[in-house]
Amino acid sequence: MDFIIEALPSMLWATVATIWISAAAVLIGFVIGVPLAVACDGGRGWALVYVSFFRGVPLLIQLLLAYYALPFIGIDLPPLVAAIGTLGLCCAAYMAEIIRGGFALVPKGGLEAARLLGLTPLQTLLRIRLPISAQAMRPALISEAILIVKASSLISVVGILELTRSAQALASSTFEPLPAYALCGAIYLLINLALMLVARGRDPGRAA
Amino acid sequence: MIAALLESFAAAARGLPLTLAIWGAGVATGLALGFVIGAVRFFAPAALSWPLAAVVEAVRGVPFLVQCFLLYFGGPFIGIDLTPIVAGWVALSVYGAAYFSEVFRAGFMAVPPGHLEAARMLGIPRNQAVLRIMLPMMALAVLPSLANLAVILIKETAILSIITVPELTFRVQGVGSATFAFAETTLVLALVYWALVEATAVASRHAERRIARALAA
Amino acid sequence: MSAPILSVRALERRVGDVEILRRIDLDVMPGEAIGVIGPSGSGKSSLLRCIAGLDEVSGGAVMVEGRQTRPGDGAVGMVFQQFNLWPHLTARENVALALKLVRRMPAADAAAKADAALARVGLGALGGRKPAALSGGQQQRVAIARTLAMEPRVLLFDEPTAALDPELTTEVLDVIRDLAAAGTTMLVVSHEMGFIARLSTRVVFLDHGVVVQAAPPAALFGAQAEPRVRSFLQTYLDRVAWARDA
Repeated sequence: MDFIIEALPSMLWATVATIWISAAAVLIGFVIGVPLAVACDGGRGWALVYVSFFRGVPLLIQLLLAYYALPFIGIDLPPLVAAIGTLGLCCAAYMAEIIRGGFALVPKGGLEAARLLGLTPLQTLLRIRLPISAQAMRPALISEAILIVKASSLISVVGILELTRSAQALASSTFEPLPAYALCGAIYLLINLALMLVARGRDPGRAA
Repeated sequence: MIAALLESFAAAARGLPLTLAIWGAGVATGLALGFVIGAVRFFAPAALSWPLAAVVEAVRGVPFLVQCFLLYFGGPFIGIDLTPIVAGWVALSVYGAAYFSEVFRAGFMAVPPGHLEAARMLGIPRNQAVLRIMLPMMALAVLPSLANLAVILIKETAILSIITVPELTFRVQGVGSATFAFAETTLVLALVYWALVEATAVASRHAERRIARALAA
Repeated sequence: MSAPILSVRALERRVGDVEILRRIDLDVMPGEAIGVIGPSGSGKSSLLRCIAGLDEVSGGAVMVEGRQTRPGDGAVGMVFQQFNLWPHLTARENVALALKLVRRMPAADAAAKADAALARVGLGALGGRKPAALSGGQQQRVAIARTLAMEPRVLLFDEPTAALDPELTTEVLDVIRDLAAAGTTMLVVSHEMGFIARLSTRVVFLDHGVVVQAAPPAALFGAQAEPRVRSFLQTYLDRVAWARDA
């Protein structure tokens, strides 16, 4: 009981940090993921290398790169910005694959109709392709959001105060690592269960 | 700078065998455990399936790093006192098994019931039908997902460096702490993992095709 | 005699080694309804898609009122076999979207114009429905309204009833006939021979990418038919007779 009382305030704030950091990363990931998907479908070499790199290198190493290698070449970002940026860029690579999968489901005829009626490629992307594929992409996008919430635990390694980092601090101050990490894991689980409920609640197959 | 790069590559070469060993062992036990969990969840009554589902969801919902901390730092308090390497192997196996089990379960569900009903009408015993009809049919379907997950687990092994498993990342970071050439060592890490993951992905696609051919023949 | 509204000049399309269209020439006068018939694989759909600019042309030119066409320039409208309605938008939104985005119409004007176009195809009451809540025939009529609202100079119909159950074809064919009667210039690819015979001012028979014959329906479906056309129509009639007797 004492443990809970001591843990609660710091863990609560850390939970908020984890949530907004993950949300920011997912947002960045989607905003970059859409043009990235278009570029990948267009066979652009740089886009394919981008996806291969961010999916091929462990996120932990990517974070260390942003933390150590960027300052080395003269780019000195605040650690939080570097961490969220890395998380977002990595997320974009996965999002791009999901979005490409969604685009593949859009019937070609719908795009031809848009072209014939004079819609620009950007209008077609925003008004036709994305909305039509949104329903199909939703489960995969939510799974990706869950992965990002979990992946955000790694930014503790570069010293950013979020759930995992707070749990580490709690473990060393109370000498009780088991409840500290169990509480931390339970909070991650709750966040992700909430995301899963969102995914299910919006599923039209269940609503009908 | 060149010296730091060379030293990092040398350290990577020293750490690579353990990375591959712990990955291979983790995938093997993860697959075995995942298959059992997947089969139980598909075939066993709800009373048995339900608690397993909760465990699988819990493992999939908690960051791998936190699971490593729980096991390695929290374990000793309940009598589980493991060396870093064993803890890493166990953590990787459990994490992999949770994901593998979902793939196997989906594979079982994807086999059309008509095939088993046909076998039943022909008088083929159920265990034979599962062994000779269901498993070969689902093997083809689950192979790509399993291979994909196995490749993802390579990247998770880097996290084991945080609980001091002396694998690739740990060794190369050691060079960083000794020389303060963190930019170089991290760059080498990125390149080595990138190559490793791409090579494994290519190899797994080849293996997939060969297994698919063998099953089709 | 006025100038042709649509001119197809020495149109060629090759895909690899396969010649899909070989030097097609065709002039269409304002208000004409051209029926395009021929065996499957003869290049009918390709001809329409080349005129629309959706398929790459290997040689020759397509001009509408003397100008080379491009998809989206509004000169040519097309109604597809598979309707190609956008499933996430209501019927009204399907029709209004291009009016808003391309014609820059205010939303209210676009909606009003969409409703008028829907009324013209007999769907004035169903503007609020999504495509999934409409029958195939209704969906195709929405697709016609969507094209119509952009007021193209030439309207192309690519087998507009081929994806429909037989009992739903009439409502679509009636709409096309009304448009033709109102003076809309159109090219119609269809296997509904009776409909083509009654609708068209001229019928083009295509085989292996070549125009075998282009003539008014009375000639093409009558004694003046070329042998190749006659044999095609005979096979077709046999099939219809068999279906009727069966």
